[in-house]
Formats: sequence, structure tokens, C-alpha cells
Amino acid sequence: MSGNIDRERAADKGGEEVHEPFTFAANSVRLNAWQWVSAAAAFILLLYFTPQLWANRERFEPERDYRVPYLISSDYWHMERWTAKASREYPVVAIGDSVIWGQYVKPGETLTAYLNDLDGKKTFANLGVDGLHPAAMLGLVENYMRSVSGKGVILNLNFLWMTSREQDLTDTEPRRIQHPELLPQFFPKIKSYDAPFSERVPNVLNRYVPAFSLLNHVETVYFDNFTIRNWMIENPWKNPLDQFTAEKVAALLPANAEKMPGLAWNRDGEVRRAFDWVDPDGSFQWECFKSVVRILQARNNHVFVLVSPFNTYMMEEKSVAGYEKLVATAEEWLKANNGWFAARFEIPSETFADASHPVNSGYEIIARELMKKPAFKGWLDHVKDKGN
Amino acid sequence: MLFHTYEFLIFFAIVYAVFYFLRKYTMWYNVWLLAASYYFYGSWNWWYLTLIVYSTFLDYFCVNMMDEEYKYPRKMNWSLFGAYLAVAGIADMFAYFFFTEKFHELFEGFGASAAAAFGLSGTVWPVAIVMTAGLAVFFAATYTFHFILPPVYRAFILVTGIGERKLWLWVSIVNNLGLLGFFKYAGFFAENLNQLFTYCGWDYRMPGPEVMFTGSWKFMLPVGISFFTFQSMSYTIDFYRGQIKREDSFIRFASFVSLFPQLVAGPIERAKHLLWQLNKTPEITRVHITEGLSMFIVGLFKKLVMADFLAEYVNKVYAVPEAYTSGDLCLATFAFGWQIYCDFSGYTDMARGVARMMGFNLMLNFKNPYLATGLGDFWGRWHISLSTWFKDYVYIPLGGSRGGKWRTYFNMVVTMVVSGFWHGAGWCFLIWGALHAFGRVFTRELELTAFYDKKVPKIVKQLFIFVFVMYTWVWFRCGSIPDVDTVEYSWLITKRIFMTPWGAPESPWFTLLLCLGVWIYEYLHESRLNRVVNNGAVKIAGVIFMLILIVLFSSGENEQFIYFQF
Repeated sequence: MSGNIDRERAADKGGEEVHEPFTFAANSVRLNAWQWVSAAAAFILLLYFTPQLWANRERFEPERDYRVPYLISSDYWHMERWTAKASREYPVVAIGDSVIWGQYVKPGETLTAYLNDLDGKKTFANLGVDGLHPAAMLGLVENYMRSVSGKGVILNLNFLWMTSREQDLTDTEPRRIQHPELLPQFFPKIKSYDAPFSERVPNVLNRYVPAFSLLNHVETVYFDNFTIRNWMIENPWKNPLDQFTAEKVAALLPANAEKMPGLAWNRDGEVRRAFDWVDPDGSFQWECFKSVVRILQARNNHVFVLVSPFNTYMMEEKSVAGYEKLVATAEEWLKANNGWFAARFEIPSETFADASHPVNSGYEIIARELMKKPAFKGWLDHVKDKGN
Repeated sequence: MLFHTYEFLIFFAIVYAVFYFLRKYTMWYNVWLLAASYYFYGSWNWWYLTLIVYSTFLDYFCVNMMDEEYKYPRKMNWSLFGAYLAVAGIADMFAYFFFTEKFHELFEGFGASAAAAFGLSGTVWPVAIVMTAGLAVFFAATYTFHFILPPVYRAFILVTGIGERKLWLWVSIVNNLGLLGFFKYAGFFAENLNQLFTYCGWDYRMPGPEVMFTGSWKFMLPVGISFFTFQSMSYTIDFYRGQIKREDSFIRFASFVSLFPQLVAGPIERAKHLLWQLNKTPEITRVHITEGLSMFIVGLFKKLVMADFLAEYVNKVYAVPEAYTSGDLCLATFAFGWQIYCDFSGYTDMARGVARMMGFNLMLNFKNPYLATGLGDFWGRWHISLSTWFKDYVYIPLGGSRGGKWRTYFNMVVTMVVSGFWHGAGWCFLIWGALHAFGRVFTRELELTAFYDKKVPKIVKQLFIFVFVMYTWVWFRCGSIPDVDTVEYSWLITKRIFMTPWGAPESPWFTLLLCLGVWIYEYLHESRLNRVVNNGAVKIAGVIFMLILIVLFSSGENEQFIYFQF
């Protein structure tokens, strides 16, 4: 109605309007609908097939005790590929943070390596990632570890991530968080995670468009962690295509060295520390961990939760009590919701390198203890039966 | 909110969906577009919205006052404007007090007793007082404008004998240029006057505009102020000249001034070209959408792949020119020439693409300027909406080419220097404008010779103009470097370009290849081989190629659009 009136008024005015023919642009990129459909289809196909072609072309032949090198621990495209390969070749995968990854030990001295030695077969794959707190683990499992469905999973629970509000991500002070790409970007809101919108959206897109996470892989492995653009600025006359060499691919394989030397935490004397444990009822990380268990269960995984030992020798008495309470809560929940789990390992003080990481002898003890535990043995037999 | 961000994508999706359903109801879609445009502008700084509203209200009001056929009581017009001024003033004062220490200083120590007397908390009562004062100012201003100003105005007209139309034209021009002058040029003038005072030995310092903005309310140049003031002002001038009729609807006029695709960096539209489009149901067909997308993707490619990539090299070299020799300085300047072209024309392409998808046609702003064969030709291809604005509102009123050769050249020089100053408040921009002015005079003389006109090959002319324009970019680029003597900086670069060895430049070869590729493409587009680039398969391949490069190059830091600072 009002539109008609307005048009009539415009017609009354007349004379002063300039109805020039529309000038498109000073180029010929003027696609019609069919040309757009063709271009979009070709581009989507390219996005879809490139990661698959790349995975086939790029040489990746990991050894038995492979772990993702520390320098590429944010390369989730590679992590996804390693997960898929491990799921095909190993009956059991171990998921967790640097305790599973092996912060102070060489690739052949990790928990999965000792378990393989004891089992005498290539049974356990190391899918540990340095700094993978439960909230990030949830993102990783949800988005990049779909291929482990139906497999046996050792899931590590490290209470390090509940030693303070900062670690638990329930404080309000914005700060750097490990693996921000894996965090929930919009819901639930994490107050200490203050990335701008322009960072959050690509983080979400990377999860659903493998070509985007492949680009991150290419930049990490072949362009020394630079964006391609920045690499060209730094290397003005080099040909970027020359970067795709066998030497660069070697970066996918781990150097046979630990990230840090594995020395006992108390070699220079024992200093006791207090931990401000977060109550599980209000803990974000504990909620995320429970979600990881539920997701894996929903994917028909046979989950064994390993509550990794914490260094109670370095704690003040009050902190030990808090820790015991946490373990009891976790045990209670796991009994009710999962059934297969192991906690309360007794390992000597000198086998800890810090609050939660064992040195190599510590891993060996845990592996032996684990293999002796009826719960673990029963679970492993169950997984092997299902696998056969 | 920048076109190449996810924020804009979401914003546009919402705006477009609602607009599509409202498009048959011109008044309602104008309301929607106005709200969207103000939100778009406000996302930079909400307080500067008052400037655009002020400029819009002012020009709407001036034209109402100029129009002899205006059918409403003029007192209403006065009081409306008074009311607006009061509201804007109060909002700004409130913001000023609220965000500066002055607010706290004003009420400190006095707060507790007053709060107790009024039974209000210490935080609430100053706000209540400011609001009460605001209301009083509002009514006083409205009353003054309604009852007192009209007779004063009549008396003024009678005494001075000035024509009403001319008076309101000047009110519009002075106010718009005043806004621009304060926010863009006051700092420059204050700084230069202070230098003059020092030189003359006078112990007086003129404060810059930043002294009015303290605490957390910082002085900054409002984004796109040069664009929207010029667009709004052109409406008043065109009406004064009888080229357009008055727009009845304030909402429609406001959405013309602030239409978000072209609000912050043009094209600077004219009322006679755009305003009528807002008074009809926009046609949105498959063609509009595909053409809009085509333009947008080209703009995105220019911005993300070309401009932002080139910017990294340019910034690196221009940050420490003394560390580089001729080769790098030449190539960085060459890169800047392409950066600014791709940045600005990329923005325009995206703006035109967005508008096209909405059924509106914005004017062409760039026409392959680096293929120009003369400087006149260059300015007919570069920032066309600004060039034509200056031609229509500065060059022609000065006399244009009617007063003989030297008068024409004088008019040209004045227009170009003013145009240079429009780009930025600094000596470098003035020099840049002057270089173009004298270059234009020189090339015009050259073009009048038979030898140059007939014998010199087109490609030589193009290269000659290209090299000249590239050199002038040195001054333009240095003009926006903060905290340095920009003229000295430009001289340093000029000297090093001519007086140091070529060296081993660090310009990425891929950037040179991209620029060359674009140049060849444009050349083909304008040549008889046009059918090669116009082939369907080539176009599809081109779009796929652009999309791939956008994905590959979009990670990393992306820059603001250069022309936002103008």
C-alpha cells in the first residue's frame, strides 16, 4: 500500500532521476547462475578431495610406539590421520594429555610402549597430545577422533587440570589457554577464553572442513609454522613448491628424544606445595571429562579410564586430603557410569618428574601394575575378543 | 565491521533476509536499511553516530528551508531541528561527562551529602541530575528554535538582503565542512600554527581537538566522515542548483546518506543517482544475485590476496626505509601502488556487489586506472565518484575551462590540491595533490602536441603515466605514517630511490607475478582480445583460482581498508 503511494510520488517528481544503464565492472568476471553453480561445485569437490589425495600422497609410516611430535601438537589434521591409522592397526588407543604422550620420556618409554612390551604385540597406540586438558580433549574426540568408534580406548584422567580455577577454566581472567582451537567457541561460554569472533569462526570451520585443517597442517609442516603469505615475505625469492620435500615430511616422525630431561622432582630436595583443588560439582574440566566418556560410550567404544597417579609426595597434607576426595568422587562416578577403570597407583616418589608426570621408570611401574589389575586384564580380553 | 569478516557475513545475512521480505514496502525497507546502516556504522564507535545523524538532519533541514513549496509550517521545521540539536548535544555531553574524569571531579566530595539529601545512592544521583539538566536543555532548545529563532531569522534576512536559498546552502556547506574541519583538519592546523608561533617567538600554544576528549573517551577520526559529509552536502548543492527535487521523507534521505554498503568508503553517490532507487521496489532477480556475487568475489580477492599480501612487504620496507636501497624502495612503492588500488577498488567492488544483490546500483568507481594514457584519463578511472564530485562542485564553480588556458590550469591545480587535502590532513597529501595537479597540466600540454598524440605508442604513454603515478604514491604512503616528519620521510625515500644502488630486493616474486597477472588481465579486458577473458570456461576457472588463493592467503593478520582513514 505505502509502496504504491511512494511510487506515485516518485513518478510525480520525475525529471531529476538519473537512470543510467548499469555498468557492471571493469572486468569480465560476470558469471551467470549456471557458471556460478559450476564454479561452486568444482570448488567444493576440490575442498572435499584435496585432503584425501594429500593423505594418500604424503608419506606417513609410523613405527610401533609412534606419538605425534611435540612441535606439531596443534596439527589436528595430522592427529586425525594418525587416529584413523591407529584405529585400523591397533586394538587399543590411549587418549590423554602429556602423561599419555610422555613429557619426560622417549617414544619407546611411554606408557603405551611399556604396555606393548608387556603384551608382546602391537596393541596400544599413543594418541596423547601435550597440553590436552579435558575441555580440549572433548573437542578433539568430538571432531577429529570419530574413526576410533568401536575400539578399545584407554582414557587418561589427570587431576592436574583441577588444581586451580585457572586450570579448570572457571576463573574470569582472560589468558592464554592451551589448544584454544579445540575449546567450545560459543557455548558454553568460557570467561577466561577471550578470542575475538574472527578467530572463533575459523576454529569452528576447521573442524568441519578438512581442507582448512589441512592448510594448517601444510603451514605447520612445510612452511615452518608460518602462514604461506608470511613465509613468502620472509623468503622472497624462494619457490614455495620447493618446500614440499622428504625432509619436511620427516617432521611428522618424532625425534627420538624427550621434550624435557626426565629427572626426579626431588633431586634438589623436597618442597611441599598446596593445591587449591576445584570441587567436582562446579568443575568445568570434570564435566568435560564426563562428556568425553559419554561420547566414546555412545560410539560403542570400550572405555577404560586410567586415573593417572598424582605426586602426593610433593603435596601439603591438606592438599592430599583434597586429592583423596577428588579420587573418591571420580571412582564413584566411574563405578556408576563406566565400570572399567583403575586408580590409586603406588609409585615411588623418585619416579615422578613433577606433579603429574612420571619418569620412564614410573611408566614402567604403572604399566606392570596395570597389567596385573584384574579390571584391566578383563577389559583387555574383552576388547581383544570384540576385535576378533 | 569490515566486508571481509565473518561478522559482516552474519550481519548481511540477517539484513538481507529481512530486506528481501520488506522490499515491496519502500518506507519499511528504508527504516530497516537505516537501522542496519546505523548499526553498521555504530560498530566502529557508537558516539560518532551523532555526527552522521547531525549531518543528515542538517542537510534535510536546509533543503526544507530552501524549498519555496515546502508545505508544512516552518516553525515545525525549526523546532524539530532544535530538538535534534538538543538531543545530540545532551547525548554527547552525557558521554563526555560519563567517560571522563571530569564527571567524577565534578561530583567528588559533593556526592555523599547530596545523595543523603535526595535519598539516592552516590551513583544514581549525578546521573539523575544530568538527565534533568538534559531535559531542561531539550525544552529550552526546542522553545528557542520554535518561538525565538524564526523572527530573528526573518529580521536577519531583511537586514542583510541575502537570498534564503543561498543562506541555507552556506549553512549546509559551513556545517559539513566544519565537521570535517574539526575532526579531520583541526589537529593539522593547530600543529602548524603552533610551529609558526614558535618560529615567531610567540609563547602561545593552540590546543588540538584531542584536549576535548579525555579519560577513556579518546579523540579519533570518525570512519568515513569525508564520504558521508560529501554525499550529504551534494544533495543540498544539487537542490540549490535545481537539479533535484526535495526529498519528503527524512527516513529515505537518511538511508541515502548512510546506506551501509557505501557509507564508509564510497562510492560517493549523488541524490539524483541513488535517492530515487530508494523510492521504488528494488528488483532482485537471479541476475542481480549472481552479478553481485561476482563483484563481491573479485573485491574479496583484491583485498585478501592482493592488498593484504602486498601490505606486508610495503609495511616492512616503509617502516625503516634507511635500511633498504633503491630496488626495495622502488618495488615497495610499486607494491603500494597496487596495494592501494586493490584495497580501495576491492572495497568498492564488494560494496557494489552487496548493493547489487539488494537490487541497488552504485556507480562505477574504478576503471582499470593503471591503463590510463594521461593523468586526465587516470582521474577519469581512479575514484571516479570523488573526481566527478570535485569536478562538479569545485572545478566547475571555479570556472572550469571557460576562462582560457591559464585560468583552466589554475582551476585544475586548485581542484587537485584540494582533492589531495581531502585524502588526509598533512603536507604530504597536499604535495601529492600538487604533484598530480602539475603533472596533469604538463601531460595536457603534451597531449596537445601532434607528436605525442599521434606518434608515441599507447603502451609508452601508459608506462609513462604508470611510473609517474607510482612515484607520487611515495608521498601518499608517507602521509599516513604517525609520529614522523612525513615530508622529510618522503624526501628520504625519494633520495634513496635515486641515489642508492639497486641492491638485491626482498620483494616476494609471487607479489610481482600477481600484479603482472592482474595488469595483463585488465589489458586484455580493454583490448580486442576481450573475448579470451570473456569466455565462460575462463571465467569459471578464474573464480576457482581466486577462491583457492583466498583460502590459501586468508589466514594471518588482515588489514583495515586504507580509505577508511579518509
